[in-house]
Amino acid sequence: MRTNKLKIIGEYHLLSKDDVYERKKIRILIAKPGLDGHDKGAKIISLALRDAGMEVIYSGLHQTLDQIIRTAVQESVDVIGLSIMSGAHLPICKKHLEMMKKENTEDIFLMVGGVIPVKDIGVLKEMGVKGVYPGGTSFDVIINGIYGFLGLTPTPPKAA
Amino acid sequence: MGVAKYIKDEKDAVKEVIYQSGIKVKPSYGPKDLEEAGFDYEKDLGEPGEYPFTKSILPQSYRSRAWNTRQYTGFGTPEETNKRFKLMIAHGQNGLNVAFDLPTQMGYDSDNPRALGEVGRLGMAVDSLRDFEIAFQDIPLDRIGSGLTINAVATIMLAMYQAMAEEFGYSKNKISATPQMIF
Repeated sequence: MRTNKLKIIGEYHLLSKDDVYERKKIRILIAKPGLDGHDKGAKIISLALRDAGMEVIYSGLHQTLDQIIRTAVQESVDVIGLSIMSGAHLPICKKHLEMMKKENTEDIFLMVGGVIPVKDIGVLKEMGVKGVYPGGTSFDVIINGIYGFLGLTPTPPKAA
Repeated sequence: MGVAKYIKDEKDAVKEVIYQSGIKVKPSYGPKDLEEAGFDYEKDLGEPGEYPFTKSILPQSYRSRAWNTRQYTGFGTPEETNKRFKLMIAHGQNGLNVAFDLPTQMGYDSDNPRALGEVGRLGMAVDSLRDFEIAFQDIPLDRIGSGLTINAVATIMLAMYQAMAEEFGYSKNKISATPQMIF
């Protein structure tokens, strides 16, 4: 069971109704479900999101959905990004969303990237996947997409 | 930062290159370097078709025999893969390169929970010897060699290949299969 899960409301994370915290970094878990071992995409997107000011956790290869959801809960992430190259994106996303519902963790948003045929993008979105980013998507589109479905407006990083 | 560090002489010409791993090399090598290194033509280069095979594995190289044409093939069930194998051979392939699905490549059965959505997806699913027998039904194994693109379970798949071939009546000195590793 999760406690102290931060919720993003508008520009702020709320710990409970009364505690308004200063805006924190978006936390995101990039995960490799299934048996496919192609992790270049997952690693590159992890770095791009880090450079965009997010806190990124990378799961490593060959994770079960159980492991991924457990990691997401323990790390209190706002978003899970699955990277799938094996063609198993439809059954994996379906099972993942079902498990999130069962675990009562639907407040964590799911996005998916990898080798996703165009005809499957609509199917995934209808299923409840918030962002679908096939190979070749620019980082800007992904970053703005994440801000978009979290209901946030991007803030420019502070000058050093 | 770069892949190598270049040490230059007073005329600004590169006299030594140091790789990231610390290995020092000259910018280029010639006959004098071979002499210094004690280069022995017979031992270090050899003739084509002879040890250490630096000049080809065949005396006449690929002038004497065409190389194998074998496209990476296999998907779905062994039945579908068998059909595909026959099509490829009918189109002139003289070898097969077998694609296995990820659960097979990693040693999981098709009904393992970890195999969700991946069965028969990137290659054919093999759970038992029977799958091999179906996939290679009516393939002339004495004429057609196979490359098995298989990772950790290569030894098992090679053994299955031999068992299947012997079942079909090919003695083991008539067949050839090469396991290889990719991700």
